[in-house]
Amino acid sequence: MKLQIIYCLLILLFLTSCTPKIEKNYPEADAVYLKRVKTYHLNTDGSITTSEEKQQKLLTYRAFQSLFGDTHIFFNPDFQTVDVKSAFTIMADGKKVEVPENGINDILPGWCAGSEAYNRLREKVITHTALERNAVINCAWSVNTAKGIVPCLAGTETISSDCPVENYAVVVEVPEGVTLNYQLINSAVQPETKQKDGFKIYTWQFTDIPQHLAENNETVNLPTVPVLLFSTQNDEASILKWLSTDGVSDEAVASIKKETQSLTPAQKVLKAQEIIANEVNTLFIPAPLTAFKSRAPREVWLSNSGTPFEKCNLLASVIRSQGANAEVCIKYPAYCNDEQLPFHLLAEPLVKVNLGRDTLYLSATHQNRNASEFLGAQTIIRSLSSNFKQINSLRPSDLVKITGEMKLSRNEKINGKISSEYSNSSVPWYSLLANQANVPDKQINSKAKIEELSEHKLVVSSVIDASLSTERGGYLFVTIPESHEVSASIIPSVLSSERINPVALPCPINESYHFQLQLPENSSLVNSLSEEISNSIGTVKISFSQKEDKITIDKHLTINNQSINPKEYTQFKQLMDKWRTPQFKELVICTK
Amino acid sequence: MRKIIIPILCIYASLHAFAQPARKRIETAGTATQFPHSAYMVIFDSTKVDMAESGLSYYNEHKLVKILSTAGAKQFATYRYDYDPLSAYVQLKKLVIYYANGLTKELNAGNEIDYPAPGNVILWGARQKMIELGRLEPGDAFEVFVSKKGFTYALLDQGTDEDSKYIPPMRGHFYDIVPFWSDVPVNEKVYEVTIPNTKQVQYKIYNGKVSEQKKVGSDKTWYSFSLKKITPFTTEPNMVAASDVAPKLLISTSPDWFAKSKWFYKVNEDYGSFESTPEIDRKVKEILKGAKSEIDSVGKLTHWVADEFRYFGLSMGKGEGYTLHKASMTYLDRCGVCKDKAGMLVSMLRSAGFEAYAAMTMAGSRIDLIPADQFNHSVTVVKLSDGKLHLLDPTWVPFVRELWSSAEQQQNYLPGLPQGSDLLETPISDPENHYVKISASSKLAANGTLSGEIHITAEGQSDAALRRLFTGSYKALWTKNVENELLKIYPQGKVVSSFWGNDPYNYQSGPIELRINYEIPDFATVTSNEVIFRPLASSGIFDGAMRYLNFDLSLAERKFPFKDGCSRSIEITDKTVLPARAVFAWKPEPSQVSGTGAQFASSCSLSGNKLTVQEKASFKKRVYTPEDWPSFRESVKMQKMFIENPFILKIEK
Repeated sequence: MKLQIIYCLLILLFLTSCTPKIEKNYPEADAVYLKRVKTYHLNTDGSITTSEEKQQKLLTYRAFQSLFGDTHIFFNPDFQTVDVKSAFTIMADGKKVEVPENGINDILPGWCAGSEAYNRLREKVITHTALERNAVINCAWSVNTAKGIVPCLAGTETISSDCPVENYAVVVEVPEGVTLNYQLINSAVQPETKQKDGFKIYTWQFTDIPQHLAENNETVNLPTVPVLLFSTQNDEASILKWLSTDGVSDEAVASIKKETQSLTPAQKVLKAQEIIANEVNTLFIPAPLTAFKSRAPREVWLSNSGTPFEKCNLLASVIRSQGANAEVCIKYPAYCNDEQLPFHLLAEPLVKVNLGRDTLYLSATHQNRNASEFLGAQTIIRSLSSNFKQINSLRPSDLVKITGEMKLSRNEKINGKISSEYSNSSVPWYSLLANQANVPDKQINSKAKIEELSEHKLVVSSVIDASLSTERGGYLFVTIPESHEVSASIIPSVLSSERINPVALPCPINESYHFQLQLPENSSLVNSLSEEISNSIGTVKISFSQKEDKITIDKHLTINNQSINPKEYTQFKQLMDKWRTPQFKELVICTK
Repeated sequence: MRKIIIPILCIYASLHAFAQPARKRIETAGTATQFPHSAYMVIFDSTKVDMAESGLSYYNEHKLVKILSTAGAKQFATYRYDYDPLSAYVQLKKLVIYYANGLTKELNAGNEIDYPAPGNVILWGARQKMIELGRLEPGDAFEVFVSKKGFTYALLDQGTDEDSKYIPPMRGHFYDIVPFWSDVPVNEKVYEVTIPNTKQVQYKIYNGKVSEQKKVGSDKTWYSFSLKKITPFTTEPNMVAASDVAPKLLISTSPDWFAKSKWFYKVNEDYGSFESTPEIDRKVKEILKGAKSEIDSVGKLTHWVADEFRYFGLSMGKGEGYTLHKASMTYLDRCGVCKDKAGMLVSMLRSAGFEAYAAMTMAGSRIDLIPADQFNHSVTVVKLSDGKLHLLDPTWVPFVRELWSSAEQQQNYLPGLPQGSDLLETPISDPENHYVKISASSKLAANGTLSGEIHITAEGQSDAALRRLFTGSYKALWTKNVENELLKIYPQGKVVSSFWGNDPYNYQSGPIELRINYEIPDFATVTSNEVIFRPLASSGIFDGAMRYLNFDLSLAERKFPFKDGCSRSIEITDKTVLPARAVFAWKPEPSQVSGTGAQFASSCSLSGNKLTVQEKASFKKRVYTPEDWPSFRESVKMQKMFIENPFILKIEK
């Protein structure tokens, strides 16, 4: 009986293996990965071997003409070697074509252009040949990183792609006795573990991953696809030390001092930021390719180029020389809030400056307008040199409130007074600290006077004298003044009917307008209206009404959430569609 | 020892002697106040060329640059020089930095680094040399000395001596294109060339005046061209390439275009670029199965090469640049740049029995008559039974319903023919070949909601522009892309249904056709007295096929010729059924326009509750003269008048 069962099982196994594999259809995709495997191997001598293998089937012309025809491997020959193990194409008719010798080229990565210091970095481009629809690209390679170059074995793998993936495996192999810390978010997949030849092997196996096409207003801080984080480091302090660089550039200090002599302490700091952000070339080189190491500030200043980390070190050192307390910090997503996870792989540098009452958070690659917009939400700020650590959770609403009393003339001119109030990240606090002429909404506030100013509140009054209207056959069409801050700048200009990923907003929104417009004699408002929508995401109210010779315009938009998930998207779009309807941005006045 | 000391002293003396004039030139050159819009200025720019009998040329470049702003300092943190090691040898011999504080720093050839250049879709082994200047400040200057021998591209290995690879492809000949215009101020520019007396030299200064000198020596003749006080060239929006209208020198020893044509023919035939293989022959037969006519066969082969071969340049090694890859290589790689795709098509056409050749052309700017190499693109010509040569461009027609891209009309080209050819120009393509027809039929409800259907069809380059919504995008985004065309103008709009045929990649089955059924709430202002709205079809929807709508129309007159993507005809019809009978209170009143550049006509009629708006426009060329501008500008203005202005209709009581 037992034998019969075994025979039956063997027959079943044979039949299963003989059944032709049913190919899946991907009518919406340009290509499909049949297989992707990424392996991280920590060798016993401390060197690291990262291997990748892929099989990708091309389905459309665009797939091979512009999307997936090349494999790019970035490496630093000073401590890394690359081994292309296989690279060939199986054409639609089954013919195998190897990538020719001239199809593998080492070039300078674009982000190193213009840098002598990082001139040795390379991009190995594997150009896959014999591509056509239904061809399958096969490629496998490995990168070996010498021992002692990086502080630990660490990785972040986002399990998604711009085409579907049938089988995706991430394998991490560490010597027995080495602890691997890991976390997988947005997925319940558990690693299979086994021990082999003195190594502990962790395998995360994913199947049938749908394609993920980027949509605007997504955020890396709140990913919706699976992200695997792993690291062998167990000493946060050593990582922070690894990222730190000391030193000062006397030349930079002297040069910037000349520019800042008559300025206030805050202005000195912001001038230093302006010079280093704008005048020193930025090299956007991924930190692992420099082994997370920075050159000394003097070298950076004298070469007039640096990575974001290097420019932050330079900026902090210059600010310290001005007598202020400045420290280099890193910013990374809050989902990596575990000291044993690879936060350093996700880190962006910044400079924190304490100026007594004010604390400034500065980028060294661009002039950020304020702190909250730059730091973002769902992020962690961690100092490299002190115990400072801060979690930035939800941000308060950005508020723009514009009110005005204006008079419309028959000559199409509008004059009057407008008062604008901005709060939170709509206040360009750093720009105003540097120069109070930098008021927002220049078109509305062409002759602006600051009435009230603090980090979180700005009130501006201005006189308006502009041609905001057009006459057509006895009708005046008046464009209602609108702020360029908040909804106009942070919400995508086109909202499609469907959304796959959540819409991430930097902050909730509270935007309102209240105007009174005095009309010329014998004129009347044609498009009086009163529109209101209120739902779980927020509110829109728009009303144009006339009383005697005055029109009152009220517009109010509130968006309560910072993240709008796809289920709520329809309600969000409903609000924004109403807010952006062209008919509701213009008054029509009959002057006959 | 003495032998060493004397040259060193000489070098030192010469450097010292030169340093003083350089300092003086820098101090008196000009400042940021004089040139507030320039990041830097060139005080002196000298190129000296010595041509050998073989065509091998030795270049010595000497430049003095003054930094005027921090943006200029940022730009020159390093000095870089591109070259192709297969055909040129370059050495950054020396670089001297003159700091404004009086210090001087000298960097010599030992400071230069040499590395593979960044690349994108052409990986031919290009390299760069670099010297780091480091941080400069406004007022600092640098002087650079570069020596070079060779050419931009090499063809075949023509000898065994060390310098042979630097001999130009057209052996024994020399040419150069020297701009005497600049984006930044140039105080003085000098170009000198010494050419063996055995050569027949022809040159011409285009678009301006340049000082010329000539001295005939016993073996060689020296030519010198110079210009002082070159101010930054002022451009106009949408103008032709600056090199078409700005001062430049063209110099060549090639007798005429016929010689160049014959050379191009021979060099590729000798290399065997067009030799077919049994595999290619089989593929040609497979493609041509069922072909109905001569032009059908040519079309099938052209589109097969266009669609199936990816644009990507791999190096064939020696000869890369001007030599067309062998068909066997391109066929196996299924990729190549324009010249390789052109060569592949020549090979397949010949395999099918056609007489076909490769040709050179210049996309984006004019080729002037001096036969210097002014080419950046390669195409194919085929002789059909009418006895004429017809142009085919497998690089520019993937998913384009043309064999020769009309985005290249009014463009010069030179076929490589056994008997040679003069320089030719591609003809103007009738705007009707690139029509866009938009028609909307809608009903406006009393609450201001518009519902109906819009229908768009297009041909030629207009078809290609609309088709790129699909072929230039992820497949998963096609529906969204079509929807967004409506939502860009009316965010509150809703696409009820949309249709775009079976498969946009199947472009040979017919012109593209799109239909959208829509509902747009709050489309119009409707009161008891008025109806106010902009008709949908005239609103600028699908403006991707009407790029001229983005032209800057502020210039009343133009100094230079200008260009659009292609000639084009536009036909817009909008029919709206109103909620009530109405009469015009005000409507856009465009005038009729007809001129050498474009023409425009429109009509509006209101019959009871039916408003009909029609617009017809024709933009007649790709490259226009300044005289064409008034009618072109007015025609665009007229179309924009409908986009920007509403109809105001009075409801009949």
